[in-house]
Amino acid sequence: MIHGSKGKIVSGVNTSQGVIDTIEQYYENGWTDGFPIVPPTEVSVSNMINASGRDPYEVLGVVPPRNGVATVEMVATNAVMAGCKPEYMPVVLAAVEALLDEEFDVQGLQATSDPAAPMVIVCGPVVQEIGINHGASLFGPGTRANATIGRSLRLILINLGGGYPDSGDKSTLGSPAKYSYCVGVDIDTPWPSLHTEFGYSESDSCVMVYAADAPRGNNPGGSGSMEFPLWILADSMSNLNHNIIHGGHAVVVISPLIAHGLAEEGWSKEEVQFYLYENARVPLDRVQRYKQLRYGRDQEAGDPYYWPKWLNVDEPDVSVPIVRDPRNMLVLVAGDPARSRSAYCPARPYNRPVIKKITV
Amino acid sequence: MLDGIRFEETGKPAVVVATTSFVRLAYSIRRSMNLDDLPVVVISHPLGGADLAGEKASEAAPEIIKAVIGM
Repeated sequence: MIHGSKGKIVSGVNTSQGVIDTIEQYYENGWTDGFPIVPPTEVSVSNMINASGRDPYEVLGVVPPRNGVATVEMVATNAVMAGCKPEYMPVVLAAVEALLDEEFDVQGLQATSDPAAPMVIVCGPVVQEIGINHGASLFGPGTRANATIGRSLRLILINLGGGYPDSGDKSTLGSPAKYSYCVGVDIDTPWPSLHTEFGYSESDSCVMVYAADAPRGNNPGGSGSMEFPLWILADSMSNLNHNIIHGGHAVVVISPLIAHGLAEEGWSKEEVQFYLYENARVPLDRVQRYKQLRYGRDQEAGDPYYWPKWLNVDEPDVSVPIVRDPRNMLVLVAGDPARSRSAYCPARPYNRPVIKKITV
Repeated sequence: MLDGIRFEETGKPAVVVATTSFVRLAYSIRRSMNLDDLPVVVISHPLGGADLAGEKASEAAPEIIKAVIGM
């Protein structure tokens, strides 16, 4: 029997045909991202809850714009539907807690016209413990943990938040990243991991949720100084987009080959952040035209919100950095260890990245 | 939409003005907040800049007033 009312756990999937019928019923009810779901049973949901060690009725928050209540049980149900193993549940819960943190502003992300999606960045020992892909094709398909943890958030945004196309989800174009967007990072890295920048220790496992467009890849190729791949990466970031106006953060992912090469040449992570801050810029006249046409702002009058207040507009050939602080360049190391590639994940800068420690 | 809900919660009569593109979202939020009586006045999408929005506001004004006074 399948129940449509809130909080009910479905059952009655004891035959192959019953499973298929249940999947079809979920389609009819609108409880899917377009792919078939795994029908949740009382046993599978209980296993998921037990793996978290949390009270099933603990409320994590409400998911806008429809304001469905995200209890541990409802998160577990959607995690089962997404195809998660129980051992993924602590990661899913931490990601949902980050998503619903007021700092993140999920309301804005859900109903925006932007193509941004919640990017789930996992770091620390849990990445290897549960098999999150941090290597070749980490943004792509084929790894259960990445696919299903990211999908859990999307199902929660749909089933609890009402994020249906053209209703709760008002993205003009959408993005393939909105199906699932979860990666492991900073396992094969010469530098301190991302979460240590936020006060956690290397032995902790953490999840950061960051509102981002799909990754834009770069192929620097070549050989010689590792400054070259950074220069190519900075060039790909130097364009007129949200970051240039609003600042915020910018996530970049560089492959281990580049990172280790940089480290061998003496680069620290802070120096990479500063290099990108210095080189990922757009000439002031282009930014002024963009601002004027987009927002109709009077450049001469200045603008305390849209404009870096320290920018000297009288300086010849001045350029605007895409973030307002080098520390807002979030430099992650991941990808095929044998190749030199990088990617830039542009931010929806109205959302602040939120990091949570994973606990069991 | 949220502004309208917050007014309603303080006991002040509110009307939500939604463009046609946002009507489904407005109704969905209204239902989720158990505020089925919150009136929604629909105008055509897009707003179309300050001048056109002003014209649409003038056209919608009688319906907004009716909704506020509960006629």
